[in-house]
Amino acid sequence: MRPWAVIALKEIREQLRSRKTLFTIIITPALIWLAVGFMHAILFGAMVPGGPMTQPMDMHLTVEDKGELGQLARHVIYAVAANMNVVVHEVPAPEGEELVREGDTVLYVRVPANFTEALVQQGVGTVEVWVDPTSVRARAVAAAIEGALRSTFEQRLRTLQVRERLIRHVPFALLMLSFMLVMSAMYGPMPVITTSFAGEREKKTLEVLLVTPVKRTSILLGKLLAAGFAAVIYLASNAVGLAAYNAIVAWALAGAGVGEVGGGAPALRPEQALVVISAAALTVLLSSSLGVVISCFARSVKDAETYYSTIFIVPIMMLAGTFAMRFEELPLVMRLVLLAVPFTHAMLMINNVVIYGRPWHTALLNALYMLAWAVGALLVGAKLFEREEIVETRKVRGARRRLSLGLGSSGGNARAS
Amino acid sequence: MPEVVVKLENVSKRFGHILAVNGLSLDIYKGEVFGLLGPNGAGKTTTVRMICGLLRPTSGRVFVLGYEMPKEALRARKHIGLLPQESDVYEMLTGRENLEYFGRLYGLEGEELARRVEEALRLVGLLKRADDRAGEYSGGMKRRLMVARAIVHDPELVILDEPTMGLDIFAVRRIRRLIRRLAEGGRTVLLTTNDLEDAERTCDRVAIIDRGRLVALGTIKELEERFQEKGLEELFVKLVEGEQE
Repeated sequence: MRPWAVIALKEIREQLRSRKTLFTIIITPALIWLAVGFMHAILFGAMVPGGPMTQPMDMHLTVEDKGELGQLARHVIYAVAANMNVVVHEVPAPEGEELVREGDTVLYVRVPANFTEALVQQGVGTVEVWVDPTSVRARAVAAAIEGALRSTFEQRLRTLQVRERLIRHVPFALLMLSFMLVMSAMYGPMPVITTSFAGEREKKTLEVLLVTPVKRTSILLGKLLAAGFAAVIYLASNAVGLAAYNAIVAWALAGAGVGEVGGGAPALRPEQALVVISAAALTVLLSSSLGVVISCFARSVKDAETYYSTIFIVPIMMLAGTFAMRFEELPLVMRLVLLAVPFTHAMLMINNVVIYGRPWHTALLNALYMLAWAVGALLVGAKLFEREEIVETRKVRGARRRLSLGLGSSGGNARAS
Repeated sequence: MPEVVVKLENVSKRFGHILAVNGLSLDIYKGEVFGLLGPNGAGKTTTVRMICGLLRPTSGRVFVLGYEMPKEALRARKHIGLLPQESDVYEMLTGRENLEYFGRLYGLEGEELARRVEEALRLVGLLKRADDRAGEYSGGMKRRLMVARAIVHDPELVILDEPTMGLDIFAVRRIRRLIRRLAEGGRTVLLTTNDLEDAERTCDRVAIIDRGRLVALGTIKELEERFQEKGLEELFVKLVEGEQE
């Protein structure tokens, strides 16, 4: 066999025998594509009537114009709606305005009373559209309606104007900032936790520690307190960073207040900062607790970091799924899955307060759910810490099938020492 | 009748289908240096872990100073000092801080802690480098610090698992002298090794185990007479099957 073939086969054999490598090269891409697949299935599948992911969307419509072109506009809107799995509810104008004011609709279209008259006499007609920017569906339907109306009236040599207004203000920059903070909070504790647990295991200092007359729960508690110290420093650094960020933005806005520039300046108000920092703090706590569980299964810091990074890809994608998105328009199963994943609640907590202005107790429920998970993970971690396997790092739990790849037997004569 | 510090009664440990330790029975007496010898994979470390209460025997019983392990491990561990195989030190801490940390975990405080740390450092010859970070130590110095860590609380039983592995001859000789000094100070030392010279130079009695079974037990002289072989190496080769293919 050629030397390059010998080398390649040896390397491949090592890859196939490394759980860590297999985890990274098989599980990671599978998770990513599964998550992307589900996200697209939700977005596009929801629009297909009769499909497995079908999720009808409600919109509201007022056609005040009884003229021929007003009725044509209604016909076009109904056609687009039918094509996108949207149920149209016709309402009188005052009711439509009330729905917009209360934020109880994601899309409201009004064809005013003078629509036909304006088109015939001046060649220009106006349709008013109110859209909820947090609803991806509503934005897509609004764009489709606008396109269909323009094309219809341009064929009749008429100009259509669409006056689009937002049902609610969404501080996208603030949400992006929050998303980045929560995401970094997920990975922030990784070096501390993996070194503290898997690192001691790898260097066999854990064995010495476990032979001291100290209860394992005390050891665990001490390590978690130290991780908490790192978390406090981490959050304090972020708070300083946020303050610097606010100062820079305030300077760039030259004194203009929040919400006065570009549909909402990305500077944080104190109550928003409190919610964002609280969500990050809970994320750090949760991430640390889950990190303990992960570390108890890893034989080395490198293994722990690989598992940590790979496992956390799913919650991060779910977190992205909740970013500035109207949660209620997701299919029930997806909502339940998202609600089950604790990290999602950090973003929901921010969304609830910052976008929807919901009462504080909703955010509190999100916080309590995350806290419950953190405590649960710590209890599991404590139990795992009591196992014999915490010091027995070698594979001695039974015969392992070896992959030979035609290079002969590896021996595999497992023995204790 | 000498006082028994460690007692193994027909102890076995199974991992899945692997029988790591198979019906091992032996006594280790107060003040002796006892060598647990065997080739790689003989079950030495598993035995040590059962003595420390880190692993539960599948069958049989383990006693340390009269305490049954691992049931009464917390009480027994006050009297045990362990240097595990291939262990390391906390490299970001100084040598002194490493010892103070473990001293505190064993309940030492204040002047007593300072005195014990000082004594341990002096015994292993690290007093001059005590306030350097352990990460800056050589391999031999780290190993000496680990020995100091195992004795900082003045335990009755010191367990050294392959203490000279990977060290140069000067470090090895230093560790061997240390082991003898520990025993002269009244401590019981359990030394596991597959370095037969370590055993010959330091041990009062040895047990040879192979594939988890006890194949010989006694002083080296007794074993030479019993098995009609001169020198531990010849004796070892005769008794141990090892990992011969």
